[in-house]
Amino acid sequence: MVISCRRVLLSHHHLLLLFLALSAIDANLEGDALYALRRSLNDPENVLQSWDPTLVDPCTWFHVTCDPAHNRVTRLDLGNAKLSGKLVPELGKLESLQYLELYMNNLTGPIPAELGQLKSLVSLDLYHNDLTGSIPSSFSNLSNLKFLDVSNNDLCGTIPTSGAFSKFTQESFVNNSRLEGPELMGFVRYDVGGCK
Amino acid sequence: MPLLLLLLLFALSSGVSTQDNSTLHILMEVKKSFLQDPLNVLQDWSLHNPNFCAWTGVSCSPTSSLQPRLVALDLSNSSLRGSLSPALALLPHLLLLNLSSNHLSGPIPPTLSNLSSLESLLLFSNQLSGPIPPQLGSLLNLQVLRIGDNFLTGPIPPSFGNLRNLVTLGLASCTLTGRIPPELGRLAQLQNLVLQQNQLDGPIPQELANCSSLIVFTAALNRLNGSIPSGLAGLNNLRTLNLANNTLSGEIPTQLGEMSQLRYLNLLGNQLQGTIPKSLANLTDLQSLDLSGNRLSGEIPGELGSMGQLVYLVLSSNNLTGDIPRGICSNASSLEYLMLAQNQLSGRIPTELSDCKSLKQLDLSNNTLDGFIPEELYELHQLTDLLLNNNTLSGSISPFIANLTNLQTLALYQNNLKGSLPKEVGMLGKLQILYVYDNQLSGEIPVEIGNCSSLQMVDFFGNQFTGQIPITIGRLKQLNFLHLRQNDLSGEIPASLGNCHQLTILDLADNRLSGSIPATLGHLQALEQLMLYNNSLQGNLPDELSSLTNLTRINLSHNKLNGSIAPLCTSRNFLSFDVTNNGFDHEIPRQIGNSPALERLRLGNNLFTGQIPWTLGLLQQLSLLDLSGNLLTGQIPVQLSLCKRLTHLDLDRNLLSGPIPFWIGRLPLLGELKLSANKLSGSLPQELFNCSNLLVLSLEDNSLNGTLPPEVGKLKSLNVLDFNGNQLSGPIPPTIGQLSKLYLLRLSRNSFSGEIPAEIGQLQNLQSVLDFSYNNLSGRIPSSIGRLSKLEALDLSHNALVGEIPPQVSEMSSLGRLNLSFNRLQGKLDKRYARWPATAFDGNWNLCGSPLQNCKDIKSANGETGLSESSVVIISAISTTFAVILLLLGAALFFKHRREALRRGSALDSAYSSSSSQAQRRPLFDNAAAKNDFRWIDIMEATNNLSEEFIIGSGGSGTIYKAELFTERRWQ
Repeated sequence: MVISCRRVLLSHHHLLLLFLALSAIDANLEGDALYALRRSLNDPENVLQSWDPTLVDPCTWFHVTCDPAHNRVTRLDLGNAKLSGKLVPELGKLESLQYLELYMNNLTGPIPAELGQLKSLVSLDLYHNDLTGSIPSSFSNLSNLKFLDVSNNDLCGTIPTSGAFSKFTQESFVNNSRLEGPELMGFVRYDVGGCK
Repeated sequence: MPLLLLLLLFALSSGVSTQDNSTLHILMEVKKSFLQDPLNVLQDWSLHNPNFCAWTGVSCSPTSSLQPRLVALDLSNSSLRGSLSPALALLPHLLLLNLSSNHLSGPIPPTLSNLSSLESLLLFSNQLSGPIPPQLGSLLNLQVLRIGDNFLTGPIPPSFGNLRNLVTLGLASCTLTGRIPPELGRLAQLQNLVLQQNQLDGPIPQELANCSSLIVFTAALNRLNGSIPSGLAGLNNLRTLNLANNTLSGEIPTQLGEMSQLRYLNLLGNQLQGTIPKSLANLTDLQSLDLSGNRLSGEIPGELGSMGQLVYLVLSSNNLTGDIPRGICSNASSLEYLMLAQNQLSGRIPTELSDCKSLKQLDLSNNTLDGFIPEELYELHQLTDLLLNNNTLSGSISPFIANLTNLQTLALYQNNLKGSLPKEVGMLGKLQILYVYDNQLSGEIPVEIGNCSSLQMVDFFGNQFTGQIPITIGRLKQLNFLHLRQNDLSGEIPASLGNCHQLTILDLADNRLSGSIPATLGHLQALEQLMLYNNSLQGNLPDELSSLTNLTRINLSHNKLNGSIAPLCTSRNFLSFDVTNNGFDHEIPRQIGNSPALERLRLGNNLFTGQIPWTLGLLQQLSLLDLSGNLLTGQIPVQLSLCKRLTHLDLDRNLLSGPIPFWIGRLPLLGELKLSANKLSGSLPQELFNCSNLLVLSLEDNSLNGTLPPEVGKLKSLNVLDFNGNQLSGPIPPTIGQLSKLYLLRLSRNSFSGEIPAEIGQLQNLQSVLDFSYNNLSGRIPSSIGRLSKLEALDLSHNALVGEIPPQVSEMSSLGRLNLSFNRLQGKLDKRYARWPATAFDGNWNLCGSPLQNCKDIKSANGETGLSESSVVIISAISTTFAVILLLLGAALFFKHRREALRRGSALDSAYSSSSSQAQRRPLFDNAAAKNDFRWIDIMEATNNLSEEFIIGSGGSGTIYKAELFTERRWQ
């Protein structure tokens, strides 16, 4: 639901006049989530130009692929697109997302813990960015995750060891100078506090 | 100077007293500066009527010398145009000069400072420009100076601090810049200081605290910064303090609570922090308190509820936390407006709100309030607006809502409300806006809603309403927005909806509506958006819909509608048009090309016939064209080349013929080109490879031939490349390795030949599938393929690949599907291949090891080396000559039988079927000269290298194998 509450702070005599502008034309939960990402990113090459939040669903947006039967987002392919800015927690709402490909950009900030809600996620490629913070412990919930590459970032803390993480090798994590492990994997409990 | 000369001349030449005469002529000079006088207020200003004291707007006072003194000139509100005459400065006895509310332009003459007696200078509401002359600061008798609502620029002259008798200084609504001069603090008589709506910056000077007579101080809508000086609290007489919409920061001084006369306090739209001082509750005369749009935190002080005179309490858009204080209405008998929206308030809505008996507007939206809507709230009979949206309220909507007979706006959307919408809602005859979307309301929409005769906007989106749309909704003559999307509504669309002539948006999508679209909808001539997608509507479109000429957006997709869409194609204002997934037939109407702003046209998955209309070329704004899954014939019309904004072109699954048009390469924005499953023929046009923004290129299942040129490497953005099922031949160009963003690559079922280029290993993002199956590829599998570390499916089956499988392939841990069957691969399989079914490697007669048969059988005769075709032939020939002869005989008989079966059109599978899902099989040796000959390789393949499972018997002279050779050869 795109709710743009454009109440202009003029005087309280006008308080209720402008809230009507929020008329809910179309619900587009997944589109809203992706649009939140667009708003959070700098996009010098305009690769996100086609992301029109007024459409019923985001399935005709470039770099977004949907499951044709249900029109749910299954892929996000934004590798090597010169994007900068931060990831947004709203991405966790893309329930059917299988492939999140955001490699080789200039993304900064933390990996939102909400990505741990992406139960269908098969592949998560965040390599070659400038992401900081820890790998959220919620990622141990990603039971379908087969491919993970967060190498070449600035992540810290320890690597989750349970769930899908038991099968990832060192290559998934290399070149994060402050990331503990992976030689400690399986021996050190996940520790949120160890990362500043 | 010429003016003075002129006056002197007049004085000398006339017999009248100099004073009198000069005033007369000065006024005539003043008159000249009023270029237009549409109301003729200056009609009596004439030399023929020399008694100027009787002129409109002129007042004189009698004097001892019998010569009247002009003391007041008041031409306000007279629609005068022109400018301020400098001659005004020659009227030294003026006490009042009022030219306000005209259309005067130009500067304020600095010489007005000569009017030393002036007490009131009123020039407001004109179009005066330029700076305020600092000289005005010498008008020491000035009590009222109002020059606002002009185009004045520059600073407020500090010299105004000299105007020690000034009571009112009005400078609002100009574009004054700079700071508020501290010198104003010397104005001890000043009661009204009105500076709002300028571009003043800097802090509010402490010195203003010395203006002890101040009653009104407004500086809203400027760029003032810094904190609110606590000294202002000493202004004991202040009644109005309006500092709204500046960039003031810091905390609200607790001392403001000492301003006992304050009636109006407005600090909205600043950057104030900290908590709301409890002391504000001491402002017992306060009628309006607006602190909204700041960064205030902490809890709302319950003490505010004791302010008996308060009418407006507005604390919205802050960071306030905690519960809404129970005491907020304890003594708030005058409170009419309580606005607490957009904070982080939590807990329940206090029942005590019902004590605010005068409440007209209650806005608690956008908080985190939970619990039920208290029944007591429905006792607030005066309520016109109740906004509780965007909370986590639960429970149901009480039938007591009927009490709120004055309600105009009811916004309960985005909560967790359950239960039904009570029929008592029908008692709300003044209700204009009813928004309950995004809740879990269920049951039927009450028919009584038809009694809400003032309803304009109804949004029930995202609930679980069931049953029919009440027929009574047709009584809502004011309705212009009806949004019932995503409920469980069933039955037919009521024909009565056609009576809601004001409707501009009708959205009934995502329900279970059935029946046909009523013809009465054709009466909704104001309709701009019609959304009926995802229902079970059926039948033809009524011809009456052709009256809907104002439609901009229509979406009827995913229904069972059929017939022609022509009735919908009359509007010339379409922006989007979507009827996908219906049973519409006939040709696509040419009129669809009449909407020059159309951006998205989706007609996919219908039964449209005929050709793609050329009029689509008129749609210059068209960005998405989806005609997939129809029965369209003919060629792709060249006029589409005019649609330069096309980003998506999807013509999949039609009967289109002819070549892929070369002009597609001239669509600069094209991102997706889908032409699969048509009858397109010819070769790939070179221009196609100019589409450097192309993300998806789907050309599978056509009859394309020729080669795949090296220029394919120019499609650098490509994610998906699918040429499966064509007749492309020649080598796979090594430049394909440049498509670094590919996640899917299918070149299967063509006639590609030559080796797989090693550059394939550069496709680091290849993920979903790499499928080169059913080609004539030869040579070895490049070891670089093992670098495809994300690849999930690899299919190189049914080629003529030779050599050992590179060990790197066994290390591809990402693979979930592997098919290398039916090649000429050889050698012992690495242990790591044991995880795959045998079908992944079948039909490679020189491969052995798990999951295929043990290598020992072959090793015993063949030593340690890998098996080569010739050695096996020789060895086998020696060791099992007799068996082989038997086999050949048996196979020949069998094959003859099978050949006949094939001629009858039946296709049988081989005894051991490949795991691949492809049902079709292609001949193994397309290029074999004698197709009817049997070769060793065939037999060895057919028996899985004489595997034990094919033994049907054995005797002293050898073993008899049963073999079935492959069906579906091309015999023609």
